Amino acid sequence: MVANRRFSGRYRELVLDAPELAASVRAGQFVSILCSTVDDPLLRRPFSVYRVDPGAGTIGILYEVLGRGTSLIARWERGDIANVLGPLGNYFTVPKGEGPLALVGGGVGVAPLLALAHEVAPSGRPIHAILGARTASMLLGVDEFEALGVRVSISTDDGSQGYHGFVSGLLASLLQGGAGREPLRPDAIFTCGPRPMMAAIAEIARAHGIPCSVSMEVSMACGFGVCMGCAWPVRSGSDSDAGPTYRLVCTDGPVFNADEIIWEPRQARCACAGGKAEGTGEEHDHA
Amino acid sequence: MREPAKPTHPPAMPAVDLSVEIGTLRLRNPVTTASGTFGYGREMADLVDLSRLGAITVKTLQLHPRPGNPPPRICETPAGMINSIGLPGSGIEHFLKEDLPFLRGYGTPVILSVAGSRVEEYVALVERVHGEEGIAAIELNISCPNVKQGGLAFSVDPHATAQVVSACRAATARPLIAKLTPNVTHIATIARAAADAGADAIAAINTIQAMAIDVRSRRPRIATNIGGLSGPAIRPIAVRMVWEIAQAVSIPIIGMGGITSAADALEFILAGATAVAVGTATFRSPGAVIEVIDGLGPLLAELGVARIRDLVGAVQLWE
Repeated sequence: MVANRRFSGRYRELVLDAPELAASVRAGQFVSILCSTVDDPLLRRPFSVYRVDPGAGTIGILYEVLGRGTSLIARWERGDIANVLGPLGNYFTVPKGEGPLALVGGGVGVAPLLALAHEVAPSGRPIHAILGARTASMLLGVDEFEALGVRVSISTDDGSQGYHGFVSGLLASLLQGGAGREPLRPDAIFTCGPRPMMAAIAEIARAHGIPCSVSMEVSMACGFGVCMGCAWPVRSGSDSDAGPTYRLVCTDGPVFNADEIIWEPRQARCACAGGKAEGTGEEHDHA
Repeated sequence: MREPAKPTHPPAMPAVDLSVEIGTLRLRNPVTTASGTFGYGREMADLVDLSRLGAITVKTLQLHPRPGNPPPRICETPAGMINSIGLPGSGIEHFLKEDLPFLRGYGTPVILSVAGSRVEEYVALVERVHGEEGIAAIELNISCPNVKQGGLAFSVDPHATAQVVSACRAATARPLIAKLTPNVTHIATIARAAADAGADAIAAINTIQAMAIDVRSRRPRIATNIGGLSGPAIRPIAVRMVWEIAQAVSIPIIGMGGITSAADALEFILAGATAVAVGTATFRSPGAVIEVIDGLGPLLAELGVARIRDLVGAVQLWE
């Protein structure tokens, strides 16, 4: 562990000396960190990598102290050894071309988008980062994007900085243009943040016919495809009666084409949960 | 946080015999994987040397593909987790075609785990794999809802347990392992029913029914409301149940429930298990099953015990 410090606002940064990861991890991938040497908290915590420095052999993650796991991580000190598994999951695929890319982030969802900006910026391709937060002090990554030469637009729910409203509203207005502004015409949109935010961004992208990649976050137990705990429903090509199609966020994702995602999964109707079956043969059971 | 470096190869082995027998099945060491925590083996092959396991128990298979339950499927709880995955899988045919040939290459015994919602489905699965090479034993996961008996798990009822086991017994000569639910009043009664119906071994325990509620949203933290608790939190319950089963049956027991270390494994063996399975610990540490195996030799050497089978049921009860 090279550093574990306050990053900005309520967010913290953990920098790890991990040459193998630094040499291989791609923007959008994640690592999972064991936060306790005892049995509790039991599970690893997944974190997107936000910055990679292959020269120094380090990777950085951004986190917010939210629960027992991140509280423990926040106590670690330089020189401590962390148990880190990765790189895990897939990564952002950038379409060929030279047109601009729009990166839409909310909260700590900015992390993988910063990694993407680090990856793309050296090519000179224009990037427009559109960042939302509840209030100005909770904005994350503005300086880092600007240091990469990325154009940044800001929204806050309370209007304390930038556009007053949700980041989806800001994106819609940027795509529409007007008031002497050229409309933004990105080749692709990449988004990560709270699920309702991403659902709104995906809907706007679809309406404008712009390809959109979303980075999903779901509770995970293993992170490497065996517990099947992080499944998310997707649209299947066939629309059969066989029931929903699920993809694993850890190994099929975390990056998905936004058109695939079913944002409001049907609530469970599990026979065994209610303790009685209807004899339809459609019962779910507990693995 | 500091952690000792993990051994990358087995430690210099004291002269300890870790081999055990489950009916006609001989295992080089007593450690297998709990079904549903190790995929079909293939997913773990880059992370774990599969040739070192006592046996590989694969994720429970059914006749047909199933999608599984809606999210959220898991939540973390104190020293454990609740899951309601819903047995997703591509079905027995896909496994036989795609996964079993891969597993055969390792020479490690494969324990097939099967489930159905009717007795006939268990029998069909057992018959389907007749003649397939590389299946050392079949685990009957009878912790699933029994459609004909109102959706209660087969293994909450001794008669339903006996029905499944005896029907499968008539259909195969392979070792049969009955995997029991702990969600019963007297697990020993169920174990005895399985043994009397011809099971070669008992696997216990499956997950314990549990619930966790988010106080802000007032929603249960998993989509099926109730799920199954696993992990170190359930270990003392599992050890107690294995001990109760060992008092009631003479067939071998595969003990499981929250095992993370060799000492945990030995607890189950002392309670009466002949072999053990590592489950949820794999989610935390993919190499957990190897760590358990590697820890057994030194632990037995320290205890001055030459053969692990000498410790099966060797708990010394208080008077």
